[in-house]
Amino acid sequence: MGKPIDLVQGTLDMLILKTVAVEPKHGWAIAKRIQQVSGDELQVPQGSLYPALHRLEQQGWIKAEWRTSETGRESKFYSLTRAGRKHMEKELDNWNRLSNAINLVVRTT
Amino acid sequence: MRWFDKLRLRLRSLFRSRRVDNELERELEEHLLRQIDENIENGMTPEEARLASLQTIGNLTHLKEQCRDECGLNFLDDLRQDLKYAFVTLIRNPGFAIGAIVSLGIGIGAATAVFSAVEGLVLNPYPYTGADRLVVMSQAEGAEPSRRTFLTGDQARLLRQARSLDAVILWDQSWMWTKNEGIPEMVQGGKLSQNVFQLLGVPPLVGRTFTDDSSTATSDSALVAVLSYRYWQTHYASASNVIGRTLQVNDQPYTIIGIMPERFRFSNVAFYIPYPSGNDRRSTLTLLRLRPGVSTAAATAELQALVQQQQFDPTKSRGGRRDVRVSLTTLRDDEAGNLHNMLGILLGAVTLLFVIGCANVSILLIGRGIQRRYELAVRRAVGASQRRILRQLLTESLVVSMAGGIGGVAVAYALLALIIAWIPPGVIPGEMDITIDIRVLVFAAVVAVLAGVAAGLSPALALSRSQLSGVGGRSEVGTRGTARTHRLLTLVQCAATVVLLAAAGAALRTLVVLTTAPLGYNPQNVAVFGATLHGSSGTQEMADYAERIRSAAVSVPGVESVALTGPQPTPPIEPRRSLIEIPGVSDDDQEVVTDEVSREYFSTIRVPIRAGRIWTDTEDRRRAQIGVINETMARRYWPNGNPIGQRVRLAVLGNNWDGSTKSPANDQWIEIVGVIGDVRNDGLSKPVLPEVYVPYTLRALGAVLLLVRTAGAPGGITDVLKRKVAEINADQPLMASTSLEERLWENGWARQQFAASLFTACAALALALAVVGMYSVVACTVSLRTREFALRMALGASNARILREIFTSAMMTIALGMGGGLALVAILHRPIAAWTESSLLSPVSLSSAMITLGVVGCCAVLIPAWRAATMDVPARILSAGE
Repeated sequence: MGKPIDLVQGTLDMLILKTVAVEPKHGWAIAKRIQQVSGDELQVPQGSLYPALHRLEQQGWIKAEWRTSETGRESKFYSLTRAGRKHMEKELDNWNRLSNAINLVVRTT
Repeated sequence: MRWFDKLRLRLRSLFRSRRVDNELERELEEHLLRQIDENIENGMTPEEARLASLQTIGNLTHLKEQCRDECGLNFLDDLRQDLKYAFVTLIRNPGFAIGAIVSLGIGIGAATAVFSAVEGLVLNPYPYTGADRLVVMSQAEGAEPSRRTFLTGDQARLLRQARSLDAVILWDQSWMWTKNEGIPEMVQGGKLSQNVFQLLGVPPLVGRTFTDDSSTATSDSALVAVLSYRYWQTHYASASNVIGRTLQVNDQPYTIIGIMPERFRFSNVAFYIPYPSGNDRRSTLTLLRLRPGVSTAAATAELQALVQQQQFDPTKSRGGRRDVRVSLTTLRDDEAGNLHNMLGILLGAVTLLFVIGCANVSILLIGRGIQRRYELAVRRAVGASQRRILRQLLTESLVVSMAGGIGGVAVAYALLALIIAWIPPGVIPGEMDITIDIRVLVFAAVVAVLAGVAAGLSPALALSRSQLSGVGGRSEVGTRGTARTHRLLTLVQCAATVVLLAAAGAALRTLVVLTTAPLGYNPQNVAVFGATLHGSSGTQEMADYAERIRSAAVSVPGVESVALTGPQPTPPIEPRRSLIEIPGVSDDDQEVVTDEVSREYFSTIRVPIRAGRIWTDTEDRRRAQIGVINETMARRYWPNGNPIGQRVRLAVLGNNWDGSTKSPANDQWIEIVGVIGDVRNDGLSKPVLPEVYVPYTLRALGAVLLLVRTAGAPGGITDVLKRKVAEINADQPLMASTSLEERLWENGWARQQFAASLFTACAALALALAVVGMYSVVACTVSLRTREFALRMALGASNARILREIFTSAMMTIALGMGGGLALVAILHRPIAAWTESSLLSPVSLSSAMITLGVVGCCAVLIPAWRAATMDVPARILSAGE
């Protein structure tokens, strides 16, 4: 396993939205999940995760709720709002087009 | 729902900031705990795990701040901090705060008050349907000035056929003798054609108005009255059961059928009774309404043709129409024409005042920014971001602008109340409703706030960029640009102030000319009472009765002499003209002013006799057909001969005072027996017109005026006089007393005084604001160049030299501004001259404007310049660190 890749600028928001789309998660779980799903390739720096979460919440894409977690302590769980889901789909679509385009360029040249 | 979530979160940050903060703390803590747990699981000791996890999370405070930024918590904190800081610095610097807030307040307030007055007067003065299409018809022949057209019922019917007209309203107003609960009183009543209320489209507040059958079918026998709101309030205490009660008017019982709402004040009378439609030969006042979409010019053309073709002659008894010119004036211009022009000019004046105020705020904010350049550079050096400093500076200018805006609202209400109180009575239509226009207020406030922000922005930008090195190297941040802006603002202020001073000077000059113009008589200590001579009009009996009232008045202690006159205006206001035939002098009819007076008139108001005599007491009583003329008339028509003994024919004697032509006991010919001194009779500023005075008994008069000259001030005689008159006839009403001087003020001088005081107030405010501006600019320049001056003085420059340098450069700017002001005056002169009689270009008012501004400017400049030149040199240099 090499050094984890830095996140491409602006993709963190999309990854967070995708991660909480399945079920409500707290910050720690979101970071772990992204790391785990990417096969430890993507490491989310805490310095970016929490500001990003608050930004998404302020914009109404996700909403937060205090719940008791498996540790027995209260955690702040984030879940996707309806507007957030729409926004995420648009972002995913954009991302797919971008990555396909990049792939094309990378393969043909 | 997204906006709702967003709003909820924003509000939460705003009002529950502590809780939001707390949650953030817990969230990050939880993350830390999990990291520690994981580290322990991976085999670290608890202490190691703690350290490692703190390491991974990085700078916790920084992270928290980032999250707080995202939540908008910092924004609000900063705002709170900035506001607090702004207030503290403003309080610590009261000169700046007061200067800026007062400048803005006066600017906004004055502009809003005058805009609102103009709105009420010009844009929406009447509550009537199609009010902008209501016009008054006048006509003129040859070189004569135009007069209102009076129409008879027949003529009105002809006029109704005009295609450009929508409605023709016949109306009349006169003093009517009323008896209400046994108390006799003379009040102004209106007679309206029965269609008026429907045409004007104002429903009654209570009851009903005239219906067609209440006046047409039964004509004169329909004795119904509609009360005005004010009369209902003052005479019936707004009682609800007034409908159906009886009101005695001119000895006839009228049934009250309705009450009009407060804003319906057509011709400002106490009540309305139907205009008798049976009497078609009598001419009366008319009001026309144009069809929608018809231009005044088109209507004028049609009416002109109609009047010429029909040959109807509303004001003259003799035919012979030559070149009649019909003109139409809108009701608004007819009732308040002059005032609305003046308000237009005033609007320009307050706009200039507003500009001066905004310029002041800019000057003050720029100057203040310069004073604080070191403080800001230091803050920048210790880590404040440019955005953050900009925000703080803008907050400050916003606080100032807002305070000025609030002050402006207060000033606007106060000023408008003053303006309304100042408007001379009778100058504006009673229907007018002047209130503060909220839209105008908001507009002015927004402009002022924008001005403040704009003014705050330019130095804020320059300063927020400043680096510590700038301060260290003593480079003066943004100095050159600032100096230029300052000079420009001073220039604008001076130019605007010159214009306002010139306008005030012109208005004051007109006032002085008017009040000092010789009247030709002495109006001091003369009280005026009105009396309707009811019952016995037009007879010997009436003349005897009037004479008894006169004698009763003479017997009141303190009274020197008493004269009787017809119900006429006080000269020189609104002269009553008549056509006159002068055999052997002119073939055409001439026009002269006529007055009907008793023989005591001339001695009572102190008019000298130049030749011949006044008629005697017996001639007065037996209604002798004789008269006296003024000097102007004698000079014009008998330049070489003797007017005494000549006979002339006065057309006006053919009609009685109330317009009826029934049996005037004369053949309109009178013999001239004397010549008296000229009395001004056509306004205060125009030359005297030829005038004929005839005995008041010649015509049947429905009412007379008593002119009572007293030894001292005429205040105290009213009660005694009323008692004496009541001894003769308990039913004889006496109209409330005024004095000749009061009448002159109300009708002539008050209007000009109103204009003069408004313009003077405007100019004084402008001057005061400009002084603040000039002073601040020089003070700012001085503070910028203190170090330079100190150095130069240390090297041997004299105080006088420094003083001269500052002084000349500032005075140059002021002089340039004054030059600009003169140019503006020259440009504005023509449009303003078209509106008023007073000229801006009078050398007296212009030079006094320049001298005033020059002297005041000198003082404003000298004070800070003197301070700079006399500073303690070594101390200054030593304390140069500031």
